Amino acid sequence: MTTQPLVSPSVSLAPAPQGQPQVLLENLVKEYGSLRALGGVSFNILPGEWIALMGPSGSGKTTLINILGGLDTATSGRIVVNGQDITRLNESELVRYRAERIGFVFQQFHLVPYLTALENVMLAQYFHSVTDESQAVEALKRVGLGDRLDHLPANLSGGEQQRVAIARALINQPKLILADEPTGNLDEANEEIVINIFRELHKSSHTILMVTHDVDIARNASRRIELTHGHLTMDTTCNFLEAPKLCPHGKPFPSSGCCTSLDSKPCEP
Amino acid sequence: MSSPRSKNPRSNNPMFRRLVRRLLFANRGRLFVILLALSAGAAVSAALLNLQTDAKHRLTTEFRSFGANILVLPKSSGTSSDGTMVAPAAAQLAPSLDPSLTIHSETLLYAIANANPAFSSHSLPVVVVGYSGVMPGSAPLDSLDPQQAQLNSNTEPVLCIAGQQVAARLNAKSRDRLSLHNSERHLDCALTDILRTGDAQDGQIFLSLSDVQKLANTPEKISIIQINASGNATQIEQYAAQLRQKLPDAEVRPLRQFSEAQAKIYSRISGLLTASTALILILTGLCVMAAMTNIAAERKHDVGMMKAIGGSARGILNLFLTEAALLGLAGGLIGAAAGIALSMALGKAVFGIAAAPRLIVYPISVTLTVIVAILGAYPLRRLANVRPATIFRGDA
Repeated sequence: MTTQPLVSPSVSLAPAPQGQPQVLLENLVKEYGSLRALGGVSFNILPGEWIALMGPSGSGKTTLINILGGLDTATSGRIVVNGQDITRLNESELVRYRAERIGFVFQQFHLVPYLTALENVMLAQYFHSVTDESQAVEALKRVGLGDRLDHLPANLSGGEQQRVAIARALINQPKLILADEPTGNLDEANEEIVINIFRELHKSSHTILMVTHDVDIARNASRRIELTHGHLTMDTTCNFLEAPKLCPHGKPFPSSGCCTSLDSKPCEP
Repeated sequence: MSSPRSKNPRSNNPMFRRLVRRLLFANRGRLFVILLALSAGAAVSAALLNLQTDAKHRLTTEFRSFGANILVLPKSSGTSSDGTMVAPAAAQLAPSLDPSLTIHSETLLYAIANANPAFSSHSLPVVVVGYSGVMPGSAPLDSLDPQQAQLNSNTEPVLCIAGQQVAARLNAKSRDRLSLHNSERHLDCALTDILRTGDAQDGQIFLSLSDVQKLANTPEKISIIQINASGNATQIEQYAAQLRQKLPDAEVRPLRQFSEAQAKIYSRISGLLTASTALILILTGLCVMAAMTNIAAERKHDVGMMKAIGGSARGILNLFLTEAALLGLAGGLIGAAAGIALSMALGKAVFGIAAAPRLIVYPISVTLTVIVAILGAYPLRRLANVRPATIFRGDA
């Protein structure tokens, strides 16, 4: 596959996240009847961070990403994105929030089956403001699909469909990219292509929150958050470009290779 | 990746049209079924509406040609004992209260005369009718050219028409000359036509009113005025009351049974056709709704995704309703045209005369079909309320 870089060639390294948090989650609770999916989750996301959101099935990862993306509402708690408390937004304001601030990438791709690859990307432009076919074509070229513009999703491979979905998520220049297991349905080759795209996005200072079960994919992230039964159980920061640092007792951090644990029990003996 | 675009809804029209086109042709088989349902509904409803409109027209025009609906007769207790009365002036018959009322009147004078063909002494008593109007199935007596009769006479005859029966009894045929006698008066007439009506007129001889008045020696007298007034029962009754005031010596008799029957017939036909049209449209709507329910189930995830990437409920609904309206428009345009043609055939079968295409029916049928299509898209309207997270979780 030949893809153009998603960012300017002069940018080679991800800038170190710094400054005011782009996203602030405070004591986020989500209940479905008697089931508590999130039990008071709090953390911040700095601009330019790539966070791998991990945890077993049913731990609340997708619920968290849905609430953060304005697809679902919290039972209680507060989410501030770029200074705006989205838990206070009404439906029409949430629509604008989703259109202007968020780029979604789903495991199931969720492309409209009767629209071509190009039209699927233009659909996001249509709901955002106005369509610009040349920009949509350019976006698809950048994910290596310049020769698949007029293909329907049924005529694209899983990896190609996911790349269309990524192009669609990025076309409106969102502040925050929410990816729910974006490689979950892909083979190894396509997984690598998609992850490369995310690397490029991270280099170009996009903030990414990615749900994944794959530790290898999580290693690409600059930070890893783990949820268990709706509670935050681990929050670590690392720099995947550097060699893993060792814990004080000389063993690497479990699984992730990250260097600094932010929770109270970072290292195994 | 790209520069932000400003909000300009007008620039989005090409994409809107592109999306609607994709929605329409997403499933051609289903498109055909929905179009078929809408076209069939539009065809039947247009046919019934056209018949309804045409029936009203026919009942108020063609039924009128069946005869008079008001009779003006000499009063039986009046001064005249010979069954005649003085002819009123034309102004007295004019509908002064309701200028919109159109009337046609025919004035008749009946007399008995002995008739025999020229050059024959065999005479028979016949009813002669002085007629001021147009005889059924013939030209006005006054307009006929005397040369038509090709007469072999030294005297200028008047023109007359004989009923079939009386012509047979006198062994007379068209262009023959008849002699009419009443007391001491005599009149020759040229037979211009033989009339066949199948009723009492077949036994009568028709002349102009003035000729019969001369023959019967009753100048200015008439036996009856037959008036055909176009209007509803109330208008006719009002006109009859006006005539009673203007003609105190005459008996004005509206033929109510005909007017009311006319109204009842139209009312029944109209009600039946309206109910049938409503039923057809409801059934069409249900057919469309069934198909749209299927579409709604298929598009649930698409709508969830559209909302996830920033689609508003209104924006998505606009796409679906436009799709439904276009289907209704196409179905209506095709169906209504077919329906009007169908109504012409139905009119031929029911009334014996092809129903005339009433242009007003076409836009009404198309509009009704569009409305039915939009209402039938109710399942799609419900889709606009789905929550993306619920859809993606698989709970909806």
